[in-house]
Amino acid sequence: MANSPLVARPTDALQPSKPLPSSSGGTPSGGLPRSARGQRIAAEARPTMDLMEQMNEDEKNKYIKGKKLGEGTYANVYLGHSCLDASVKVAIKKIKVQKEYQDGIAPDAIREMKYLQKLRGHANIIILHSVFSSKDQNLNLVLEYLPLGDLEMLIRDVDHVRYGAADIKAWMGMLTRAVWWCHDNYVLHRDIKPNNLLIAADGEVKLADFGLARSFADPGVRMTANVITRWYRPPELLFGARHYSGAVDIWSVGLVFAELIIRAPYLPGNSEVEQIALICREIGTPTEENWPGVTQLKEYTVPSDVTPVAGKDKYMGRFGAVGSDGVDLLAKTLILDPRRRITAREMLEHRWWKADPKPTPKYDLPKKTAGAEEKAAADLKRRNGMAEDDDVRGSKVARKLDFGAAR
Amino acid sequence: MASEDARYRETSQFEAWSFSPSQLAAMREKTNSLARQRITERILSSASNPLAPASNNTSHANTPDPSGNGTPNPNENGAPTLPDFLKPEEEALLISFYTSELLRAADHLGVPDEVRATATVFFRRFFLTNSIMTYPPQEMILVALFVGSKAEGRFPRVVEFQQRFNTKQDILAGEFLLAQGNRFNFEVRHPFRALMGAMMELRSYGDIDEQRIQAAEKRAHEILLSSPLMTDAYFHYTPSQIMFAALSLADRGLAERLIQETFHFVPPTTNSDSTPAATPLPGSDSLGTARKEGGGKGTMTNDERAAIIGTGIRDKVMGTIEACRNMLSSELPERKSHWTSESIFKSQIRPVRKKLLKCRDPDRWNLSELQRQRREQGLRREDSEERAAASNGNKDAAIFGGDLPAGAPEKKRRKVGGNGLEDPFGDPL
Amino acid sequence: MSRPLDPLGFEDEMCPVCKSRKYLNPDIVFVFNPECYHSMCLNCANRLFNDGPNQCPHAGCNKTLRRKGFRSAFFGDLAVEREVDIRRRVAAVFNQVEDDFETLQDYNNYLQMVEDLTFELVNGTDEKRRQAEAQLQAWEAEHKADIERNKKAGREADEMSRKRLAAERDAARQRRIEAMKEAEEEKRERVKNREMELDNLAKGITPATTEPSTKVQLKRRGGNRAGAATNEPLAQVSNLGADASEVERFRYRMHAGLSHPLMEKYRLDRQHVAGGYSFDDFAARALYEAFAGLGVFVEDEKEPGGGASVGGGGLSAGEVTTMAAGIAATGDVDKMDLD
Repeated sequence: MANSPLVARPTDALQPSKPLPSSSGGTPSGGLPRSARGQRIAAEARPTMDLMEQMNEDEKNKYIKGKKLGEGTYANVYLGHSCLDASVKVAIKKIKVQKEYQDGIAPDAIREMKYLQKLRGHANIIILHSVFSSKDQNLNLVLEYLPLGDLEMLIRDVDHVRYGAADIKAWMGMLTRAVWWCHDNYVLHRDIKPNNLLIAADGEVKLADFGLARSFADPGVRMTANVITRWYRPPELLFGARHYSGAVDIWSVGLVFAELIIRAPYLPGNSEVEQIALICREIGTPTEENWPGVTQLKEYTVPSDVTPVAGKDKYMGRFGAVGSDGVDLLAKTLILDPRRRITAREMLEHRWWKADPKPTPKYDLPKKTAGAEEKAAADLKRRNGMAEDDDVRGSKVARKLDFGAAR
Repeated sequence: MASEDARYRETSQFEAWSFSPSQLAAMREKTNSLARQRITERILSSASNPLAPASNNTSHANTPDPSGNGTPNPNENGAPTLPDFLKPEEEALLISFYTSELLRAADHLGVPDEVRATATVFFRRFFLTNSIMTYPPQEMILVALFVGSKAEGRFPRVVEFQQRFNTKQDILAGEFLLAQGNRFNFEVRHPFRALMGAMMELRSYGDIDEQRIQAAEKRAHEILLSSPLMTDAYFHYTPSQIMFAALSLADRGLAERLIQETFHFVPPTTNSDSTPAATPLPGSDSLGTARKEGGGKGTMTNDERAAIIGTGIRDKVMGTIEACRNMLSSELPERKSHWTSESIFKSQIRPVRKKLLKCRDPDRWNLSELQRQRREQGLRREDSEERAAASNGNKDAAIFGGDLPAGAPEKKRRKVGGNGLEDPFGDPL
Repeated sequence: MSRPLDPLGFEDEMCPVCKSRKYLNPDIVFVFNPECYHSMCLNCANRLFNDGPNQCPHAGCNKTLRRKGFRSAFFGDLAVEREVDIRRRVAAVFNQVEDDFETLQDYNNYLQMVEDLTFELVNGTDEKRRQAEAQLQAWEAEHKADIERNKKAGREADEMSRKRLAAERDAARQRRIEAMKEAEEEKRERVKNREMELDNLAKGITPATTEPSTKVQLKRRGGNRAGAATNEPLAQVSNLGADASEVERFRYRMHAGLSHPLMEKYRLDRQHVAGGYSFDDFAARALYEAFAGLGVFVEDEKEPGGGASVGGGGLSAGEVTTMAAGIAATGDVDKMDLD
């Protein structure tokens, strides 16, 4: 019989006060008398769905949406759980239609979907479980639920969160492995920063936010230099390079490493010019000697007072807390010439991991509890590539009562 | 045992979009029959509800029109005549035709290989889970190119597209559908870079004429730009196999050489062997390079290694490549003239198109209209959903779920009046 | 045309001076003076105070008011307006943040003190109020420096976040502009290339004839390789807790001599070199793609009883109701197959 099992589904009966369609379900013969059709209506309350719609329905029905965790201009985030097992929690990110981008599904949404799915299956990459569409043609991304906030929260909470070299080693191990996995799959992340490193309940750090990711380019294909948040952006991008490699991510990893140690951004430039100046001052001025070809990059400009490349002692002074091996590794991530900069794979082979202290087991890593859930939701819901600073000092002061100010 | 193959098995291309020939046929059959069913329902429902307009836009062009005069006239007899629906073979014929059209459009745009191929794969996948009686293939061509571009990291403006094709088509109206029909899998793996890799490898043997390599690459590349895309190759074979098949068509000798070099491992004993594999066999030294010792972990058993690069599996691989080669042969680049020929169009394509016009899905054929309805409906649903979720908080499936295409019938019912879903503020603006 | 509803009854407000109400006089505007928080309509205020200071017309209030003191209220209830003004004043003086305190208890004590003070200012008797005001003044004088510092910090934090947002927006805009420029450039490139090709054709130059130099180069390279087996095996990944996702490459080996015309074309291009582009990565990827999946036999693995299919579910030929149904049937929650 042509009557498809797709049509009669038990959940149909749950539709309250749903008007009955005047169509019949079922046979294309059309020869049934009206009364028979009427009887069938109760069981088959809706028109046949094609395979595409059915698959989407099935996907959507795998999850039960719960309370809203956060609301933003870019997306709403809801807590959810698997319909089969309520303890399996997920975060459902419903992406809103943006006014600024008028050409359909936004680039970062596409990149997120593409690369999260491509890189799925590594412990240090956030899991994208599923994607489905809601009725109003909005995208819903079902992501891993990571309620313990991000690494930035831990770093900044100097008063309540204490961590040491062993913890830093554990976190760096996770970050390095995540980046290695991306590069092994020929994907550039291009937005590595503490804000994008989310923390799972078991302490595992997960790389998230693939809104700026892209595959490695073939020779000759130009990429944009305007990626990676400024403080974490490598010199080759600041100089406008259009052909680059995973070394750009490694630089960011190095900056995160530094930040973990000193608990403050290492090179917080207020503009691209200032960023370059900071790099020159702290790490060394890029020149043809230490980086052949650099002066040919389109936007190469450096301050006139040339600083030599920093030696190990300089780094030891500031970052000595991770030991000589740690500093060695850090210095290698901050090599100016991207061709000589250490690769993710080489990082994994560095002796620092084996030196004392051993990395903390993930369950014992420091965690932040208060406010973590809100921050995690905020991380998910914000537009990829941008940060909403919830801890801004100003918001706690008089602004609260400043009703006269425009909102 | 991790290997290159294992990682390929984890791709969406393999998991969700690879099928055996019989599975593929079954899916197409199913799609076709579901579409027939649904369109039939629609026709019957619009016939039994004479006050409602057949579709929600003013033009009646979308209404299936078996009799040839405007909306089916229910006054004539109790049940309207149903149109002649397309058979699966006819759908397949049109899909091929429109795929060819898509490739021509890609030529016109001058897009990179990957965009062209991804767009085509998107298009063909879409019409696996949807029938061409439901959605207009002509329009989906531009949509596929648009989304294909995005999936490959190039984000065009809709306006540019419209200008290049001198059309006013609302390309965005189909974008979401296409993505959904592809289950939001945007990554498609192609054989182009694989071909370059194969050439690099051949070149490194040092004893093959460079001219021969370049000639083979040129022809194989040409084949890859159309043959796998015009057939079901992407559903049945992996990009690596497709590449080898194309290479085989271009220069059989080179393909065979590469296979020989790759699958050379013979385990030392004939029985099942779990002893750790030894260092490379002398056989591979004939070229003066001790290449391909296999991976480094060294704890792999001989059996495992044989499964990846053994001579046994070599024959199976060659068989698969041969089968793929045959499939590609049916649609070599030269066949383009067949699909663009005037006479073929008149004799084969046009009759089926005519048939299609009579059996289209009245609700869905107009993509812009469909999108508008769904958006509105979604907004209304969202309000009630938020309210309901606040009160009972959970099983959203009942609210969140439900049918997607209810838009048209529901709206129609509202106009007719008296159903509890009546909106006191009148129709949405 | 109807007027908006007035659920709180503000439209009943009557000017004590001229007794007019909004109902009869729809354009009426009310103002008040923070000296005594009494209100009246703007017309009356103008009339009474334009020529100089005068007494507040409300019965029992003998405050001297000036015209410039009057302003319109944000809140309908002037009591609220007054309290808000008071709080604003207090907050300007007591602007410490949690971070300024050693312990949470200290911070809470501080907050309590501020609240108490505010309460006195808002609800206290005249005597209490005077005391509270005095306290406020005293605190302000004492902590002048701190107050300034906190204010500045607040402003800076705002600045920072604003700048960050602006920077992100800029970057996004840049990218968009770049993409457009990109498209432009590429178009021009294409046109140029086409013209060049046409020119070449006209001059009788075919692609084959322009290759000799590269061809010779490659041959030489190939010739060298036959004897020099440089087998740089990829080094092992150290056991950072054994990364299970490590994939071995078995069907090919990376070695230094891999070459392709596309690579050679750009190998010496300064932009590629200086930017750090990795040709090794490209070669590795090409080789990987050439062999990945070569031993995956779709037909076998997708039919039931087939080989090691991962997550595809046991789809059988006849049972293709939906692919998702097949996957759902495995009930494997963690394998949420979006694919």
